[in-house]
Amino acid sequence: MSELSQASDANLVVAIARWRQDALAEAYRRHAGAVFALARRLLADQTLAEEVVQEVFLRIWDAPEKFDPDRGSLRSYLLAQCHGRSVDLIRSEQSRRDRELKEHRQRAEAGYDIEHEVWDLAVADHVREAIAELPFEERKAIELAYLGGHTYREVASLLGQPEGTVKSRIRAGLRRMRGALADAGVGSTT
Amino acid sequence: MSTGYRHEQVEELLGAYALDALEAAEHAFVEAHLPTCARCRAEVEEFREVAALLAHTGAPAPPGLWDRIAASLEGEAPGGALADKLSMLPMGSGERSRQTWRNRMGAAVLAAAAVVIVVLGVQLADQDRRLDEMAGLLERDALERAYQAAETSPGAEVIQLASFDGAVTTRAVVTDDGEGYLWAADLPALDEGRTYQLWGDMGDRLISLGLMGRDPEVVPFAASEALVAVAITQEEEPGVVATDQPILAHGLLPQ
Repeated sequence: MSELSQASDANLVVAIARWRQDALAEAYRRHAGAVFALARRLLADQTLAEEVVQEVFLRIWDAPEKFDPDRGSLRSYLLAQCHGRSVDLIRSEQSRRDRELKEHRQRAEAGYDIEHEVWDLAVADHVREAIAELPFEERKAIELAYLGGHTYREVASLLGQPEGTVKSRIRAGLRRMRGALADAGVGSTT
Repeated sequence: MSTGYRHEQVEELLGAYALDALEAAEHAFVEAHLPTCARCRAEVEEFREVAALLAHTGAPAPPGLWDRIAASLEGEAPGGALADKLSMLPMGSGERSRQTWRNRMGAAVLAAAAVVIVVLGVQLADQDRRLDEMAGLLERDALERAYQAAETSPGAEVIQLASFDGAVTTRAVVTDDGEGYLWAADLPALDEGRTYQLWGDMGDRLISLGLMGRDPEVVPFAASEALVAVAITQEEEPGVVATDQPILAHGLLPQ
């Protein structure tokens, strides 16, 4: 067990592929908090969020080969799975979406809060700096898309901006953050 | 707009794609392009890393959630036509009741038993790819170091595996906390399309502990107390759920 607690994420997934349940437990210990928090944030529903977490970890158990350590960290893979699944749920429930649109419209008007969402103290300062470097409009577009679970068309409608502009701002903002984080030595691999 | 998406147009969508912010049609265009374009794939991965940094941990996941996940991994081990396989071999208490061995099952063996269950439900080709791909991730020297560390750890026991005629011999080490490492480097490399497969003998059945590939060196496995022995067979890729091949080598585990 002590071996697993020190194993890299990539080696944990190897052990998961060998049906080591304790390796899945270790991956859960490391990342389930973040996965749950993202699902909870997107779905605003404890039970649904727990179901998404369960799906995400059963998926890595059933299909660990879908995670490619050369292409990113396990954490970002699990969070991407969680995000995709949560967004599917949001979009399959029109009434919920309508409620959330209203809620997020209010939030969009009030401001943004991604700088409060940063998870890891070790990288928090760098991430905050990277966010601070973003132009306000890029920051807002990314927040509404990622943490609000909206399509860029919905974001455009929420912000009263052209769709093409929002699409470009999301990409430009992510590129800017990536550059800033790479300069700070944070990011692509964990 | 139907088929005419060009690289530049897809590129424009990558940020929104990485954040799951495209609608279905555009999402499908990007998905169709990605397998053909390493540059776009790399950009998406980088964006997802950035996005992951925006997600915070908050509190730990709710209590009880892991237990539900773990419970859904477990299930009845299917009845096996495998039990006869080693019945001619001397392996001690071959007639353990199901209840007894179930009680003795550790988490790792339940996971191993899940091989049998899951494999029945998915294509064998998937299992093959899974094990091949994942095995390739581990550096061989790291496994060799793990083997050596296990060999010198307190309470570790080395077991000998041998064929009936003594032509094949190799060894494995089992640590005090049930981690096993099979030293497989002495096994001859097999032809393309063949693989060694490692089995755990539960007393009344064999369960697959994993594919070993055609030219294995060190193979980690979970050596729970519920296993009385391990055995190696040679199979066609992608391995089998139940073997009808002769046992190449067999070794009793410390009880």
